[in-house]
Amino acid sequence: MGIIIEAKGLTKTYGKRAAAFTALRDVNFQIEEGETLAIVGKSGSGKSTLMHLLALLDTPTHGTIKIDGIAASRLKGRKLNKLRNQRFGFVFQQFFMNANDTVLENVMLPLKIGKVNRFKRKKLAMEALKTVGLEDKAKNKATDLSGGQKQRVCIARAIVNNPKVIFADEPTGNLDSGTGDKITDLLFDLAKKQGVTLIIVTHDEDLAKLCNRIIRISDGQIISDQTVRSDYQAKASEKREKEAARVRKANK
Amino acid sequence: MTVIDLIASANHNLLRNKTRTILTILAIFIGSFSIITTTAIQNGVNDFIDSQVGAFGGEGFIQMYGKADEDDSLTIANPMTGGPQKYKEADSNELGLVAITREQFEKVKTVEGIKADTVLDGKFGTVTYVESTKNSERYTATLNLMTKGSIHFDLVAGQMVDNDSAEYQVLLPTDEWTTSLGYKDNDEAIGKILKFVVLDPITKQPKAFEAKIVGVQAPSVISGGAMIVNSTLNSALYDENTKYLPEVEKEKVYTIAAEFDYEHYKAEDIKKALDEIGLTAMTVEDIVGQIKSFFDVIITTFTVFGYVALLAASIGIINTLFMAVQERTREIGLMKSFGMGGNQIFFSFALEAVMLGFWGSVLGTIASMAALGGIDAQAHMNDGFLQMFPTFHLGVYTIESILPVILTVMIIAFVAGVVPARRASRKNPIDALRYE
Repeated sequence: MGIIIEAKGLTKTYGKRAAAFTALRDVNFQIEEGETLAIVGKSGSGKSTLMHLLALLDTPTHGTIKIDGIAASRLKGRKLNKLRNQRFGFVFQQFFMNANDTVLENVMLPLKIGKVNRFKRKKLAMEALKTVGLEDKAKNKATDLSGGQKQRVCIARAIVNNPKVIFADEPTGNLDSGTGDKITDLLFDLAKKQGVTLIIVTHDEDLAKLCNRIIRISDGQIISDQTVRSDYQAKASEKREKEAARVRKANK
Repeated sequence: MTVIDLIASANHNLLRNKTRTILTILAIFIGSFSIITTTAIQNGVNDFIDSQVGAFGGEGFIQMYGKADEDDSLTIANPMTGGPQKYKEADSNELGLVAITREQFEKVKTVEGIKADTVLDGKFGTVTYVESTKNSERYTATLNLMTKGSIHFDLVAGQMVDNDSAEYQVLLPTDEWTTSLGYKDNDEAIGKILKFVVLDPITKQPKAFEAKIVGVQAPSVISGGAMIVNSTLNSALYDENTKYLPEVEKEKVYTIAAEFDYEHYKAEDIKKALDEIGLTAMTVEDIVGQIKSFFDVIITTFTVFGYVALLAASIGIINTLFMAVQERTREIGLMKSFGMGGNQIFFSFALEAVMLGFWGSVLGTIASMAALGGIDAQAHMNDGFLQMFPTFHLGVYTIESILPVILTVMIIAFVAGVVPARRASRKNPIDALRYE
């Protein structure tokens, strides 16, 4: 598998001279395709800034980001927007749905921005809703949904353009633990099934443990970068074991 | 987003806050309504004047009066200055018009640009009464002459009299005449004979001239209810009227009418040339211009008010959009993070402004059409104030008059939307997403 995102010497400074505040300091790492990565840190640690830089929503003061080997600084305006539109999906803690629009319209938004025609747009959005199990809510107003349903719609919206990378900013932050777990399962299953690179920004250790790699950030610097056998993998193999055992039993 | 998506979402977004949108549209509506309405009335007036003079009528018509002194104002041309006038020794008639000499008359024919064969001397014949050959009713009538050429009257039936024809011809002033003369409609009257009877000034013996009715005019402000007779009939009547007068009096005229070649000569140049002969000249444009300029002043005033209202409305647009940008800050951030470009954000908001302008002006147009249409219909009914003028329509709406107004309003709305739309387009996606 190739390297999908490469960060080199990332530094981000806000403000100028005396008021300058360095949110990130010389951050280097690479993300491989298909990885599930957690960026963990306390609030103010710089983890959100890092995600914004990786998602090309912001530009670093120093350093480069390469997406598929192409330096993001060389992409301007339209090309940059196109890249974000086609390669990235976003899931936010606060959902960010247009409350008065229908669920379907919310899911179609990235496709609408990407100038996908009406017919195809609807078809893809319905597929995405089916994936998250909400196809029967397509015509409902976004406000009529529960928190968990909202986040599932957001996941549908994030996967509707078949992205290579999904950025999730505290995806379970606004949900109770039960619902949060379901959302996490959904997110990881999708990432696994569709080979999507998942980048989760969180301060929730339990959520981070589900990823196969954890980058810890403090005061704008990486303090640890571990690749682990994630709880999710453990759970998955456990599931596989159980399934295999069930099959064996059945065969007996 | 595609253009269609942008327009659709602009309209969709406008419906999010209906009250605010309706109020903003209402402001635009008032301005547009006033502009569209005044333009339509102006069109109506112009159309009416044009239809009175004919679509291309009157451009070449010129009327001349004798001129007594350099500073002498014409009584007939300036009825508003009808105070006591000093007697001046001149060969003038009771209207204060100065007689035109035969020499001047002949000179007019030689003026470059004047069509010599159309020059008519103002020897106006009069009639004691006209008598119908159908029901034998007798009526008094005023007569008028018209030059052959650029003036085409607004006819409801038949055709114009022919000055070159050897037969006596007459054009009835209104269709009221056809019924009064005993005909059931205009078409029946065409080709029928109307007797022009002149009583001998001395013997009081009636003498009849039989003229053919060639046409019926729509009610006209220009001919003022006079019957238009052809030159042949007019000359015969004039000869009869003046048969006891000495030759010199018979030949005396006070006005001359003619056609000039308006396609190749300027009215100003012709007037200058006539002035040198000692004649004051007025074109139809001069006469109609007075009426038109009166309406133009009123209409310009209202149009200016309309644009002032639009200016006020555009401040409303700016305010509405600023509020919308504020409300949708997060949404803008979201769309930007999904790869929507600043330009597209700009256009989506600018389009909302344009749509406000579009709906305001379209609704204004529709309301104006309904209002003027209603008033016009009322006015043409019995006892309505336009009953006398069936061809005068209060509001005349054409694509050429409506479209520029709608487009102008949309442009004004766009300009009003620029600043808020730019603010939206420049929002930083991260800050926008963080906005509470």
